[in-house]
Amino acid sequence: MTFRSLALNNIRGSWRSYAAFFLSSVFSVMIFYLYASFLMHPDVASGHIVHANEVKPMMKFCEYLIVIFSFFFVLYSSSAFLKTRKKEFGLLSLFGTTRGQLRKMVVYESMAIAVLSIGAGLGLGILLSKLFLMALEVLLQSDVPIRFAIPGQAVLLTGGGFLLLFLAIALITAMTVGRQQIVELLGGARRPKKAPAASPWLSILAAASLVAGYGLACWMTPMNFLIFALPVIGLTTLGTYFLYTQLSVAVLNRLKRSKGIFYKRTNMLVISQMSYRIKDNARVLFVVTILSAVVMSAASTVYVFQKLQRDQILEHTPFTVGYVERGDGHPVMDPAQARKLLEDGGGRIAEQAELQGVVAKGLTSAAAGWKPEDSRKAMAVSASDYNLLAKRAGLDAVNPAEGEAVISFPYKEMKGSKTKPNETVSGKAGGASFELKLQKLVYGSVFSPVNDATYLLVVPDSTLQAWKDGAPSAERLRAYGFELSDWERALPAVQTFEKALAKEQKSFVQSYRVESYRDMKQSIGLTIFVGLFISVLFFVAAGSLLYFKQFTELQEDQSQFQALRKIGLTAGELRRTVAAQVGILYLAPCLLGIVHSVFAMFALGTLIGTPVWMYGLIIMGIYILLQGVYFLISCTAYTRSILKLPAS
Amino acid sequence: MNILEVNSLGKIYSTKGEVSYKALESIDLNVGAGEFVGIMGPSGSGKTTLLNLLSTIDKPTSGTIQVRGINPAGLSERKLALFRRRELGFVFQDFNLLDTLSLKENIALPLVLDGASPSKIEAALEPVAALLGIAPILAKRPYEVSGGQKQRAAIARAIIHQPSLLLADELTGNLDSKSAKDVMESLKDLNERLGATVLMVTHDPFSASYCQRIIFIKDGRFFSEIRRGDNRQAFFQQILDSLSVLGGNFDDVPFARA
Repeated sequence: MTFRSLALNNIRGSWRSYAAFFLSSVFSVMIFYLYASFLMHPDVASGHIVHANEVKPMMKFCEYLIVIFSFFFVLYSSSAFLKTRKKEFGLLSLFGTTRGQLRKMVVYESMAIAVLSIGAGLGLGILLSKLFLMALEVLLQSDVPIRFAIPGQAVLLTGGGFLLLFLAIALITAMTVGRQQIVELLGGARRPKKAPAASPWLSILAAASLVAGYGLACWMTPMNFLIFALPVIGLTTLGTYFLYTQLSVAVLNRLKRSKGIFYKRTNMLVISQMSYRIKDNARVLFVVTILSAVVMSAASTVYVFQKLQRDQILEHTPFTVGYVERGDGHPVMDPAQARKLLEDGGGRIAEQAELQGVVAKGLTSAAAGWKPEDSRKAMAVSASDYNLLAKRAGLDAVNPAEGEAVISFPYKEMKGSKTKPNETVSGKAGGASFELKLQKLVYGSVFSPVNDATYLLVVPDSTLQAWKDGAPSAERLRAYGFELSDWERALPAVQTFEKALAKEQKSFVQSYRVESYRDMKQSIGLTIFVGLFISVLFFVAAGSLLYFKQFTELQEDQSQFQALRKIGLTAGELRRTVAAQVGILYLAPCLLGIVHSVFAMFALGTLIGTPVWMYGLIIMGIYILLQGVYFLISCTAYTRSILKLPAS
Repeated sequence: MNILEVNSLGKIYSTKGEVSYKALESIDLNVGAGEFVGIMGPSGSGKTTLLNLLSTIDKPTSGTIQVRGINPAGLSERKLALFRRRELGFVFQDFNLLDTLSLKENIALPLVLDGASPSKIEAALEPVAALLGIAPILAKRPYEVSGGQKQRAAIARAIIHQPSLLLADELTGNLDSKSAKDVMESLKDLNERLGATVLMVTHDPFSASYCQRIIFIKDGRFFSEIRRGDNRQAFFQQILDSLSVLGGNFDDVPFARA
């Protein structure tokens, strides 16, 4: 047996505890390669793929993120591995292995794992890169297909970079080996731990800061957001930390004192071991909780914004295509022709609407902020026409009485001061000046807000009739709107229509809905796509940290579980005990992270005025699923390893 | 009445190859109620195999075991676990107390697992703890007390549920001679005052001298049997004589665990 084969056998022997670490390393390498292979793809590098620039900065940012994350993850895992092997190192030193040899062995081992995981990660990355490129092609809506390529530079960067990273960490961790006395090393593995204790004050602090943090999040309004945001984050973080280190232990100790609960079958085992387990893992649980809350909140926010932006686009464009015409004839387009063009482009018209009115010029109104030197024009429409369209757009009906008017602003975001009583609006319409009492201001467009029809002045039907009669034909307005079914895909139809327009006509037309929806969807889709890999990487790594922690610790308890088996713990009871202990490790940070992000979403909901917390459910679902898989795997692996071993 | 009846018990270990190894062969053994029986033999004589079979964590290849007339071989795995929990008590060489529990909780464990009420547990615990002299240290945790105290707590755990049979495996193997003496005295008290039936595997002649009867086995077979008279000192000498006749290697006491 050579020295090198000893190192390799060490890995083979403790394969189970290395498995999760290996998996996460492979995953980081793979994702790093996927991004690198795109960034260094010959077509992308040469600027052949035009849209690539939209995603390049974000991918680069993610590459840095992966490297930083991997560094800390590998560093933490490696030093944790070494800690579990104290006894082994002690024995080897006892036999006369020099410190240098021990370090060499550690470096050999780390590098063997590094080479394996880099190899596997690169292999998987190359296999999956075609799929990755195809997905990007769809998301970027690239006209040119991105061909499959294995950019040598990307392979070199990924392989070389990670090899350096692993080597650096191997050298750092190797330096810590052999610093202790042999006696300490030999006794290190089985030093009894003190019973976990909790300070009552810090436990109260934990509960108080969590309650306060959540409370403030619920109280948050757009006004106090800036004042509340930092305290909410600070309080929740503080509360989470002390929840794991103090409050959980305090609660479990309290449970121990209640004989009715503690002295009930396996409860005694579960509760007493749980307090050790949580206290020992408090830091890992804390970090995993906070990071999962951040990842979930960020992911939910992106998702929420997609929904909100879609709603906003729809609000701003009541019709897929709409235009306004002034005067005789059809200065923009005959609606029959517009219809034909849209249908030629493959669109199916679901609805066609027409709105008639007159121009109201030189409008001033103090309530609307329209001063005499900054007067506006609007399309005057009848209340009955307006109400019909308002119903379609989901807005409230208005009822101006004789001598009254309502001003309709196109966008809800313009909402400002409220109407005071006795405010007026004055201007010229139908060839005469008027002054009407302003009944109220309403926000949200009912018809494509463009040119003369940007603002609407809603007046009683009789008033409009009078203005119409008095207005010269050049001041009469007609607005046309076309709603297409399946408009999300109707870009060709809209483009056919737009091509038939002269340049000066375009300012009377609103037809940007489909295109801006597509742009929005594309950029959000890319963000989600690129971010998804990072989130999954994080979840996998978080799971593997817990897997490793739990596995090494339960190994220490193995002899005790075996003794319990002899005493007569049934297989079912053993499974339940293990499941409860393992479950708390995986599910506690997951659930607490979800609670945190639900409150974050609640706060976000009040900020933007719509409840949004349900959108995060999908991401939370994925997280629970991943953690659940980890939980099942480690639970069954561990239970089997106890039940299978001969009990002697 | 016999608590334990063993008839022509045999155990053959066979590996995947054709090699098979006879660990035990036609062992007959009866233990009456309230008896204190020791089993001795050199290394590799089959002591541990016999104890494993008796503690139902291993299955015999031939012969039968009956505890109070119940044959554990016919029980399902779950019933077997419950059988061990109710009918048997175990004391191990390395104590196997849970560090996460106090001594009191460790002792109560078999009753707790069986769903006994807290008041009943307290009632059962008190006399046992008093008898074993560990009442003042019940609130401590295993790593805070000495080896002898740990082993006495382990004995308390093994008998708190009043099992039919107490099985002890080298229970003084990890103790210094003073602690070993204390533990053996306790076990003897238990046997005499509470009438507990004890079966102990050991190769320490001193510990064995507390037994009423000792069975020697060698190479998996019954070798001889000696009974104690009134004098323990004479019995000790008798054991030493028997061991010298038996031969074999007795130096297999493992080191105390680091």
